[in-house]
Amino acid sequence: MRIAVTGNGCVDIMHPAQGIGFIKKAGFEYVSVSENAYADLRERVKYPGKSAYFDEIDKRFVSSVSDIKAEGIEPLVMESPSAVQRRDVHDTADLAEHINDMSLKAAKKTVKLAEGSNCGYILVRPLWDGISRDKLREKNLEYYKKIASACTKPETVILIPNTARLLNGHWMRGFLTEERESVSFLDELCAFDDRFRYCLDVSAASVCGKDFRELLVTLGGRVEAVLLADCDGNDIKRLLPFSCGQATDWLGLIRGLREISFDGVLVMDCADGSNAFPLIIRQKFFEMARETAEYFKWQIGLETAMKKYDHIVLFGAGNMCRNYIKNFGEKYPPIFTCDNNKKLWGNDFEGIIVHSPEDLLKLDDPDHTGIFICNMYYTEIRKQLEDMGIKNIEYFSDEFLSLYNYDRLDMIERSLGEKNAG
Amino acid sequence: MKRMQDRIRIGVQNINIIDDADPLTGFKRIKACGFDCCDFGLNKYLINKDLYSYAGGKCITKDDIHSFYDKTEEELENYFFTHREVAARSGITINQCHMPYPVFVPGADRAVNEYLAENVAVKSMHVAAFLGCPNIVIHGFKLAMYTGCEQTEWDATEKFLDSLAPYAIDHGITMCIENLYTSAGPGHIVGGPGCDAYKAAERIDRMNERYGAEVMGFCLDTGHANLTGLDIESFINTLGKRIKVLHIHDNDGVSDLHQVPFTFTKERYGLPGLDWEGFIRGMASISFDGVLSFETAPVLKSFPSELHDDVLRLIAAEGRYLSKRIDEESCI
Repeated sequence: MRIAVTGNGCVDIMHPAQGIGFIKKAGFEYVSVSENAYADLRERVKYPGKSAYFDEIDKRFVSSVSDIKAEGIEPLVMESPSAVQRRDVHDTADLAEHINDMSLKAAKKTVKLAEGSNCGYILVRPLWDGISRDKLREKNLEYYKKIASACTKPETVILIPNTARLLNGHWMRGFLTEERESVSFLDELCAFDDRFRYCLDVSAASVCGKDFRELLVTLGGRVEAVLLADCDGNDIKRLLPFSCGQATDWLGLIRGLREISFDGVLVMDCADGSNAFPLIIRQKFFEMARETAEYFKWQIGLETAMKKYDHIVLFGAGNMCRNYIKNFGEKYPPIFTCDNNKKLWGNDFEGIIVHSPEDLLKLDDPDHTGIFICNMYYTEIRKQLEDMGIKNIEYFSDEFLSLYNYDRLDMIERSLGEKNAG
Repeated sequence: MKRMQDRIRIGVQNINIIDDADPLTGFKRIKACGFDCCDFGLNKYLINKDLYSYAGGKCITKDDIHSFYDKTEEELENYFFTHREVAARSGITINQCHMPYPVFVPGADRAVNEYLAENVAVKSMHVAAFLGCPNIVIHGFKLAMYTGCEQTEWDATEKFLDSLAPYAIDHGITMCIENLYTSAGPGHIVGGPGCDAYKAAERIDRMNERYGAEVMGFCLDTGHANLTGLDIESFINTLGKRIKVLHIHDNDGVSDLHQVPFTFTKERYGLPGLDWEGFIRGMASISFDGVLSFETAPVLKSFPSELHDDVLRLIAAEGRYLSKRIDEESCI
């Protein structure tokens, strides 16, 4: 799984060095670039008199891509210019025909630039404005086939994201938000040219109350990229995940990505978040974005860690251990668990025996045994194990699981306790 | 052949209008304000908040529920006898009922869920049959968060519906599943049971084929559709004639407010945020000729009592407007 970050807005194409510096220092190896942040297609069509300005933007964008590469960061995804939908902007329908014509020209130009820069992925948003619902599929099939025909490298992937549609300020599900439509559309395109893949735009799906898990599981291996962003569920924003309370269905997203064994490109699509931060502390934002991306990678690939080992032992005999057993116990059965609470030693817990941590020193095959900490005091327990000389220490997490057991261990006790108190 | 506009009738929810102590006044009022039909909410008699207040960390038991549905079937018939008589006398048809919900509480003990499935659900069907009502709206189980899978959630709902199907067939009642939402965290709504029109259509067809009768149908809720960003026109077209009843209401796209249609806008331009034009086109496309039923009980809490008749007349007028537009659209 590769992690990229959007440079939109942060990398000032007039003065790119600082923005590129933020990205590099945070440890990102890949970036997603787009000219939309500087001039989207609606502006280009609406203000033809500013063509000199737009030409300058184009030139500087191209040179910023070179600057990014010169710093050892790879432009992994290049987004083709499009017309961005905004509330209280109602003239795109009038400009639709010109915008759609320009979209195709812009996409072909993006293909050339991307392939010339060894950028493996091109993100092209579907056409939508001025096209009736029953013609969306036909028009977009035609559109994407033309773009594919402009590609010269077989390894170039065209990413197609889901869309949301603004109706009088309210976001509704647009083209390629519903599962069956998306599968059918992509399969027909791939029969023409196998370079098309689905890109989940999390924010655009979130404002439409989309069930991520169902969408992802239905799409399966067609999903190659995820634009990871948070929003308040009311308007499309590109914010750092977990920064909007619990306004995004992270559980559904992680479940879905895990189930499809997602191993594509995770784009930290947080331009609105990064641009809101004052310059002097913006570096911290990107470092946080990097940590957050690694967190998602860990959660999505939770089973990847388990697969590494021939044997698994758990540490902890509480709810997290129980959640491991319920969700993964059959596929990755642990030999035993251990706990610092002596009173539990020798007990059967969810079908495995609780041992003393000292028994970790008596494993038959320690080099191929993973010790999964099933307790939120990860750091303290890790230290304890490291001090004992234990290797292969991993963290399990029950924050995002396939199954939830609402009959928590202590629920009965709590309920009886309240009754007795009452 | 009558025009669609003349076949379509207008309905409204009983809650906050019908007083059980004097149902005649309420039904007369519904008629006087311009309605033909009533959506009789049996959920009024077992409020969902009472059930949810016990769940989630606390193990709800049967002793926690003191329910109207402890009455015997005979007692229930006696209770609703007057309602049935005065509704008919007032010229109001009870075209749909709403089963209490939830019908399954995750976290409750077994006796509670058995009570809900075997007592509350069955008795509410009995009341619907007694009232001569041909449709009952049932909320699907909300379990996907726990089971991790929408299919598993549906399997549980289907099993529940199967348990009621024989009664439904015997009494000519169609059980209508509804498009719902669920919470993915405080303040964030995602599509819940019934939000995939293709799956809903397949499941309805499968059940009806199995029983050789129209035992299952769909209830389209416009407010829920708005909250989950559904493309309402496509949704309606996919479901087609499986849509038997409606819950028409409006909201701000954030909370399930059950307010008067055309109330909410999201922009300074002032155009409605809910896709009413899409709703009209969809209804016309499927030649809907049932009841445009408004699920707007909270409106009568928002407005002062002196304005209740005015707002009910407004709602009925909106119904006639929608009916006229559906008719016009169907002629295009």
